[in-house]
Amino acid sequence: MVDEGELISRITQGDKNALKEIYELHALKVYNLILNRFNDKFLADDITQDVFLKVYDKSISFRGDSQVSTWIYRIAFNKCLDELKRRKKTINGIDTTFYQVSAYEDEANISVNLTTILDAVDLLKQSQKDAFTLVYLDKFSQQEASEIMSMNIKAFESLLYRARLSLQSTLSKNKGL
Amino acid sequence: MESFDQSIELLSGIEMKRPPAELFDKVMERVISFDRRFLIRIVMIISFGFGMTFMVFKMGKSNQKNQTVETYFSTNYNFYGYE
Repeated sequence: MVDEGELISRITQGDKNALKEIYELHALKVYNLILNRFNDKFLADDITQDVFLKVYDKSISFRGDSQVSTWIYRIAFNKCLDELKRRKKTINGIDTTFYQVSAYEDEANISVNLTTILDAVDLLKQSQKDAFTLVYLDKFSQQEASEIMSMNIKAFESLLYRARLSLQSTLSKNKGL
Repeated sequence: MESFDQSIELLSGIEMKRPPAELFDKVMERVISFDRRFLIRIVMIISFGFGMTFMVFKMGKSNQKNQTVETYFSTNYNFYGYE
């Protein structure tokens, strides 16, 4: 088990190998967190670079109040929010063709359902969409997701519940689920 | 609700995309240029500090010769002296 706190203190001393270890541990989730919001590989590349540059730059100010992973994902999440603000737009439709579904699933059936679900997710309010995406697409635990969104766990659960209700209502309007 | 949960379960079938292999090299390039910019800034601050110290020291010396600041920069005027 890697001690991530130790890696961060090595990064503070300018150790590039420690940065590489941190990158290897978290790049996949950071990259997908960004990709799930923008569906743009080039932008995901750029923001992932920004995130790890910020990790390198701000490692000295990491106080250890939260886990290193949560801190890194929060940086990535905030970078996404900044980018959304900069563009003054919300997610430009989740492109379902972009996602690869596991081979063992019934592809024909799933592609229809997946499109419907992702379209419905796209209609959620921004905060609900963020909460839902963090848990169901980025696959974070509710505790982690609440910390990434800097929210109390109870408030997060309530937000996610409302997101699920809205989603269910949209889906039942569309498909009679 | 069960049907809805089953629908949501479909999302777990979405595979995560791997970041490009060369992405870390790009991160390292940016880290190195960040370090370089930081070093340049430090060198500039130190040079400025030395420059200012040198100037103040020189001014101090010129004041010992009863030379005002204005005469240090331009020997044409002495606003405070009568001679």
